[in-house]
Amino acid sequence: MTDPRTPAEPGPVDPDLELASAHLDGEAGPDERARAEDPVVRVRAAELAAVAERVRDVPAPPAGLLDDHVARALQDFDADATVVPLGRDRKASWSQRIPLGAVAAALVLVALVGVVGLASRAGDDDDAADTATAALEGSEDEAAERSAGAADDAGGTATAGDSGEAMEESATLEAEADMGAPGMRAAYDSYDALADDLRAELGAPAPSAGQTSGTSEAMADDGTDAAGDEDPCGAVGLLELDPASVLVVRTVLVGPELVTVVVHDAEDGRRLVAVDGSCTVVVDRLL
Amino acid sequence: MAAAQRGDRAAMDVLLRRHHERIWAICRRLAGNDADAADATQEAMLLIVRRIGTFDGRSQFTTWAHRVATNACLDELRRRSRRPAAPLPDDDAEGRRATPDPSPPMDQAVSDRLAVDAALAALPEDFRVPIVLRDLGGHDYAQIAAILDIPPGTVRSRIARGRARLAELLDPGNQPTPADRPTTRP
Repeated sequence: MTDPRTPAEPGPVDPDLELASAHLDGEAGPDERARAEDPVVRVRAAELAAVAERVRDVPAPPAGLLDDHVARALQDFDADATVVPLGRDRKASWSQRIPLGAVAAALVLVALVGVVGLASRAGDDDDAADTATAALEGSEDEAAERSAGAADDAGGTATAGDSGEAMEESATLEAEADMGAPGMRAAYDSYDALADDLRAELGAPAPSAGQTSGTSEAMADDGTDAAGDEDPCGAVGLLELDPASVLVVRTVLVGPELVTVVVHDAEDGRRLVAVDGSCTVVVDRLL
Repeated sequence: MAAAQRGDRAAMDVLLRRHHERIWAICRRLAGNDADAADATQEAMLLIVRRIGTFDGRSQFTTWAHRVATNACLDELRRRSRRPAAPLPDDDAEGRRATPDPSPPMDQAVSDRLAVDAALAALPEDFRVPIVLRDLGGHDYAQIAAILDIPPGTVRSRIARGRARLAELLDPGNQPTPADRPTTRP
């Protein structure tokens, strides 16, 4: 058998053959159509038409295959496939390529291992050691689940494409998963409505840098608005913001558009910035 | 399609069902057998689900979906080619056991399909894929060029060459050679 990946043969193609084939496909140019009526070309076209007809005669898919395939694909849709907004730049930055959930789980593990070590060195305080060990076991379960999820994503993708593309796909899906399910996102009719909501949520602007930083840390601990999370465009980096000044990073719907919203403390006050799916700043105003 | 992109499960279901048969046909002809085609089609459907958010509407959805499907099929086949090869249809255990063949002649349609599978398998991938996208995907040359990221003129010549090669393989006794073929040019 010919190597299926052998490059196409070089050299000119028989003009009659090429014309016959193109004419058969309705792809002959206006100046070629008259020549396609040449008997030689017509005979050749008839031969090629017979070949094309045989190629088109494909066996029907086995019974049940359609339902199986659709069901499996919809499982994936339900489990993993969060929707990417139209036009999003798929070139993720290096920070987006890191599975954030797995990194967070690993950091928790490292911290808890440290706690266990300290507790052990502290001597005979069995209660403290037991408590720390129990916490570690619970965390390991969570970490295992998260890692399994990440591995499922990566593995599923790796079987679906070449490795480079699979990594990109995996990273993209990971970033998308971090954005949460579409149904969980807040939706607003306008940026005014969004601003009202954010003002109510954040309260009065922080009067000092120290308080600003404290607010940011509190939100990060909450796990919902940590800078860098829910930030598929790397908006904080894109806007060249000091992470300590960032109060909110969140993906929401405003009208039909999915945007990443960043609220940060600036010199002139607290600002609301929105970045769309193509990583373009669409709103930048005082909150 | 837009509803499916927004996460509408029912819309995705409809979309997948609408495109399944054509994608199956493409993968079936690229793979050359039902088992590989079934796996490749499944991979294609999964990739469409996973990547639908990246469809930006600059091309027809069918063109985009067939691009995803073609790449998925070829990737699947390349992975399989690195494993031990499965026996060819005319060289399997049943065929060897039946020498000389006491069974009734194989149904002509089945035999013809096997011959087409074998002939397509003998074509270089560069010829086979454009032919399949043209004859089973129903794409025009510009769409095939976009799917394969090659110039339309290359699509045209590869389809012509591939079909000529297929004609030779399928009906070797009835093909004019370049030397004895009449030409309209001096």
